[in-house]
Amino acid sequence: MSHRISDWLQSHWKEILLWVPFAWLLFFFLTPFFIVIKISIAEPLIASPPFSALLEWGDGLLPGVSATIDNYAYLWEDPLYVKTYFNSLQIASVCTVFCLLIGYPMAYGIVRANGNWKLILLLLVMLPFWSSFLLRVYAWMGILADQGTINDVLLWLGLIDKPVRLLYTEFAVYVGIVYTYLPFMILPLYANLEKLDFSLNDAAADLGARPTTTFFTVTVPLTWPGIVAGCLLVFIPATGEFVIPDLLGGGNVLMIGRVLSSEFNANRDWPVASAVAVVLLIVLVVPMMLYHRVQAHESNS
Amino acid sequence: MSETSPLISIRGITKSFGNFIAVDNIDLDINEGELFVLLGGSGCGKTTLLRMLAGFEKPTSGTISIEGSDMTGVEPYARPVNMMFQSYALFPHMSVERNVGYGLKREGVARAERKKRVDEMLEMVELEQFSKRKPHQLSGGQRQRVALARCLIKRPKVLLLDEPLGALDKRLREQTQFELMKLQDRLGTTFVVVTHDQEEAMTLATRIAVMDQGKFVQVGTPAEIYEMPQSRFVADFIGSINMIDGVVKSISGNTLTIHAESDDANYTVESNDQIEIGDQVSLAIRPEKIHVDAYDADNNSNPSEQKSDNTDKTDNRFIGTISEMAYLGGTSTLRVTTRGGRVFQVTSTNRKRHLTGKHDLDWDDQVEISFSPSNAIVLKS
Amino acid sequence: MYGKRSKFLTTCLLLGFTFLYLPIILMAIYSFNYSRLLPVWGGWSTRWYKELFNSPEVWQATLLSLKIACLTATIAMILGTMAGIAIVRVRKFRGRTLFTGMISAPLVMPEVITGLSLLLLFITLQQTIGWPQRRGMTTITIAHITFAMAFVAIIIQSRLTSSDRSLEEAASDLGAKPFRVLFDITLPMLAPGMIAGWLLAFTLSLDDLIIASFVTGPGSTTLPMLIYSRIRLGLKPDINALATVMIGVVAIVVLIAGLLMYLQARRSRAAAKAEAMDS
Repeated sequence: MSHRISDWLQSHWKEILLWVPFAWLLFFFLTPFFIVIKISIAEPLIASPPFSALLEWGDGLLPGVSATIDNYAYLWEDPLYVKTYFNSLQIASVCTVFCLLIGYPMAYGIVRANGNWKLILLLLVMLPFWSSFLLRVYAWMGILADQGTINDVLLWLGLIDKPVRLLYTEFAVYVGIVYTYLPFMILPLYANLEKLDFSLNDAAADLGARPTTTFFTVTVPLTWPGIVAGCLLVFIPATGEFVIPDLLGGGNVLMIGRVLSSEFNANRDWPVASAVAVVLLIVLVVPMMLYHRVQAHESNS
Repeated sequence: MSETSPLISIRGITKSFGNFIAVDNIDLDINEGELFVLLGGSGCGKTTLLRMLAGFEKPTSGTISIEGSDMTGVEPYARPVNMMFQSYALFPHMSVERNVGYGLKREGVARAERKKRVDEMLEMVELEQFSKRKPHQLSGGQRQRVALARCLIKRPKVLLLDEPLGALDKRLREQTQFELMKLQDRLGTTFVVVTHDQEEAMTLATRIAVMDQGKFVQVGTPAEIYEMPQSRFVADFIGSINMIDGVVKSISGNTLTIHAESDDANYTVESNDQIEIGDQVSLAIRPEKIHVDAYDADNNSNPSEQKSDNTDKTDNRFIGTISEMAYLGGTSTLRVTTRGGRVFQVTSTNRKRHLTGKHDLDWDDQVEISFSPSNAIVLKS
Repeated sequence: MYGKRSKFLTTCLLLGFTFLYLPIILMAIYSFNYSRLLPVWGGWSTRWYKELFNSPEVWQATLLSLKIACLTATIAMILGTMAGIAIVRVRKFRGRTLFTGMISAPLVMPEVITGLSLLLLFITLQQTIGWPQRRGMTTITIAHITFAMAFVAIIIQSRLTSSDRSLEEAASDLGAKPFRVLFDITLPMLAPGMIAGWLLAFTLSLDDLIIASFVTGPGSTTLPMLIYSRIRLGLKPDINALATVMIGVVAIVVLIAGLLMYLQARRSRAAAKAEAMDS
């Protein structure tokens, strides 16, 4: 390295450290959103690309702007879209609650386990996360199918005499989402519980609190950041989920991720697809900012 | 100050973090070869001052110069000082040898020379056989010595030590205190030590600065600080002390008579300070400077007469009962409540062995306590 | 595992892990089923594994996915580490809120949105500057880096905030200039986090279906895309075989890594103990 370059690095390394990733994100993360917004107010055309240009460079010095809110009006008027948004939010919320109900005792159990068990259990939580998400969803298809494991077992036990429809129902989607997002709930809860001083529990017990009282008056309030982080980490991506409703719900479960994808790929209506994305983003922006705040708070303390 | 110019001179230094003033307009000179201790409670600004000397914090105003050259704008890596961190900050991924040699490598000292000096240094701190170890394979005391060696190898003008013994247990701490002093004596390096432990400060220091709320409350030798505290804060902070508030009633020469309202008693003290009749003052007396004797009521005159007897100005003599007592082995600490209702803390040395387990003095015994006027301190603030 | 007082916790863990692992285990068992009809048991066989390994399509897709994952992991690790250090160490700069927002957003951003927006960016770019000429490996890699670097940055950030600042100060005190401190102290200190970040970025990339299917072009089929198109057609035993192979590889890697970590921890503990006896 020549002297001049090394001198330059010595004095500017902090700027480089900051600006290289910053520029990358500005270009590949932020700019695309503006393009999505732009296309969502363009008119659909049967062409390639299938939308009208927003800026028309005419004779004048300033470009003329042709914008339309038709796409948004269309979303509002068609009850299908409104219903799909609500359905997505509902499925995501119910799944979040179930993840919390299953995940909290598990995280608690892992934290309270001793020595080597703790490591092994933590590894077991992360292991599915390192393996293919798609294949884990696929595994459920085999279990829930008409001739799948559950029906086989129930038939064999004689509890039913013909297969119950499980696959391609809303139930299957619930199971799939809870299953795939469970580790996302457990890990932040674990991180939070791990920092908890368990002598507080002893202190509460010593002062006459029953275990359940201790849990709700001491443990839960102290792990609140972990609960919020875990819930958001499940809720937000679950709302926009595509693969699970597609594979486990078939055509019977309406979720916005699927609608967006089919508008885009099947109908080739890019402006409407963009409008769907923008509305989804607006719906999720509050929980996302909440998540950002929890995250920032955690890393500051 | 001394004739020779000071090694470190601090002028009007202030550091504020937002609205909080950590160090408030401090002036200080430290001479070569001193072992200077900054003593104070947590949050008093002592560590901030040390970090400004090292260059990790930039002063809000004021200047620091070392050997006459201004340190403003000089980065930590370019200063002729080195710091030993409270956590030792040993690089976990480097061996003891590489940790100690790191500073020399940055100076560009050649490999052979570096090796020689590292070996010398490790020998001095008796860690030769641990040179290949990683920090986590060392005990607390050994880590402390590596940290010390790593600083000293650069032959700094000034060594800054942030709570150098804080991470060690009590027994090791006492032993290390003396090692640190021996080392300082041998190398002649100027040490600036930050500590919250007053005993440690008294043991180590050639001079102590007592800090409170970003200011120096008193600067002096350990003896000066202990025997001649200039304020209630210092008197209270260093060791234990009995404090009596009162008004000056009469003055003759350097002898004052102070009347305390609360127990309606008169106290006699010597002081050379400018004090006038009617001044509000505090009288401070160390527990070990109070003499305690068993009191036999039959052989003495009426205690109430004695108490009101102001003619005897050489001794402050009071009758009381022992209300609490703690046997500490070498000494015993007593709390004596006088008839006026004042409680004195008194330390008495246990010179005799008490084979029966019974002491000369015991709870609820009547005792006579006394102290000489020259042993009490008069504080105006 | 614990005392008798927490039967409840043990039960919860047992049920929870059964829920997490039963589907995977069943899938693995069925991959050895001879029958073409998945639910019908036709006896043990490795037939589907043979078919799997003889399929050039699978090999091609796997190779492409691995290439993309390696590239993504490496670049995302570098960019994410830079971003993580910048957030913690450069306290004040213009656009800090925007920057930290962009770092934490990809963690929760629905993939359909990320995928759609990146595709539209690539199309716009192609129209205006003629690059990228065609979509495929490059565009997928760029898309993956963009969301994976955020995960790396979060790991680095949390390691750095919990690390001992005095190590860097000590180096600087001993005469190292800031850039030197970065290489001598900060990066070695962050190394475990960077490795974890690399592995995470690698798996995220290898696992991604949605973003890749948005930004890909003709002829570039990644492994998840291949699997997806096959399972949409129904249950297939060769997919079970593929799944078993993939999960098996991951499990072995993780187990080896875990074992190595455990052994190293034990070795240094033993060394510390020996040391304590010495002195």
